[in-house]
Amino acid sequence: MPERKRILIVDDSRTAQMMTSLIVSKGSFDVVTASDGEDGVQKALSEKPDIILMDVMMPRMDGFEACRRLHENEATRGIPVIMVTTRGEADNIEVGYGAGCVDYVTKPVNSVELLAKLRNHLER
Amino acid sequence: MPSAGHGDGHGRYVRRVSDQLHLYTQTLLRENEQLRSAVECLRSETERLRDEAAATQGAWRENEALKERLRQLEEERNWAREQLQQTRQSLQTHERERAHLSSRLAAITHDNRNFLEQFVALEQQNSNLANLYVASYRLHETLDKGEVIATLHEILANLVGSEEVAIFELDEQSGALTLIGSNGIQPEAYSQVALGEGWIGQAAETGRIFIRDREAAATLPREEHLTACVPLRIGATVTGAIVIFRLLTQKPGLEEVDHEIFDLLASQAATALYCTRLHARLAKPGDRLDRPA
Repeated sequence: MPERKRILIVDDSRTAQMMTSLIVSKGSFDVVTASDGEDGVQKALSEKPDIILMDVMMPRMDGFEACRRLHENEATRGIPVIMVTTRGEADNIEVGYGAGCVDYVTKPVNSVELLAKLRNHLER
Repeated sequence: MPSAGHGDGHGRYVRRVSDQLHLYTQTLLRENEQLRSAVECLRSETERLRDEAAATQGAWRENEALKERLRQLEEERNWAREQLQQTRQSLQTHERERAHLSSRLAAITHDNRNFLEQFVALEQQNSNLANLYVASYRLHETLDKGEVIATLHEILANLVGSEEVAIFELDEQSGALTLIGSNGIQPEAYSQVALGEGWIGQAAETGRIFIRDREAAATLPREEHLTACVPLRIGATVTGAIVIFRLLTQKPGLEEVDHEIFDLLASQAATALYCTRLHARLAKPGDRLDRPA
């Protein structure tokens, strides 16, 4: 039986967390949640997820900064980060890639697209 | 032998014999010469015949070799013909098989496409139901008005795709909509909306969800970017309204699921907000239900 992959969902919106959890739970993933960037960085270190879904606009530490921190840390550098955000403008996407994310999904989330991207990055 | 008295006769006789002998010798020599020539001719003929025989022998051997080669070639040709025949039959079999496989592949591809389309449709339906479930669940998770309003903002941003929204409650005394929450707009322009005024007022007055036609021009400047207005209803009574202005840049327009969310919000958000009002009215200070989730 293949090992279940662990996903860290970082989003300050409980609605978004719940919605994303429902989507990814169909893909047989274990879900861990964090409510802001700082919490996300801590959970990435303690939970060692296989992939991170990161919102951008969050209190305390935004998703870009959290992504940068994860990228700077040797222990978390290898974890792929997918930005999941309402900010779909090209310059935001560019900032996201600059911060080290591997992919970008805009809200409202299309479940088929999100699951396809998760599988794509987890199979690499 | 002639007698001595016959000396002349004897001499003549000798001469005659000598002449005859000479003639005979001459004849013999000529004949000898002829014979020698004939022998030479025969030798030369024999040589020629021997050469010819040798050449004939060579030609015969060559002919035999050619015959053998021809036989081999014929055998090879027959073998090749057989092989060609078998290859043709095999090719025909393979072509039939390929045609069969191609047709099966086309059928399977077609089925796969259908399954994929069905999967995507089911996934979309599943996702839509999940949206409705999450929206409903979140709205009834709290009795705190601020939290319900925040949840509505989250639902509209994450599920509908708009960060420009306004939430109104109907003030029963003044008969006007009062702004109780907003996101991404200038709240001053929307603090009060009279029933029947503009698209928002008309939707609240009729209790019918208003979806703006792309071509329709707004009569009020504050409704220039309006996309939809959802009256909040408990039963047939309108208690407020949710107004959605611009959608997120990546969202080209409202989808079927958005209409379902609007239907759900129309009743569920109204009930949730009404419950918060009731709770605020009835709850005592320090009520444990006031604690955030």
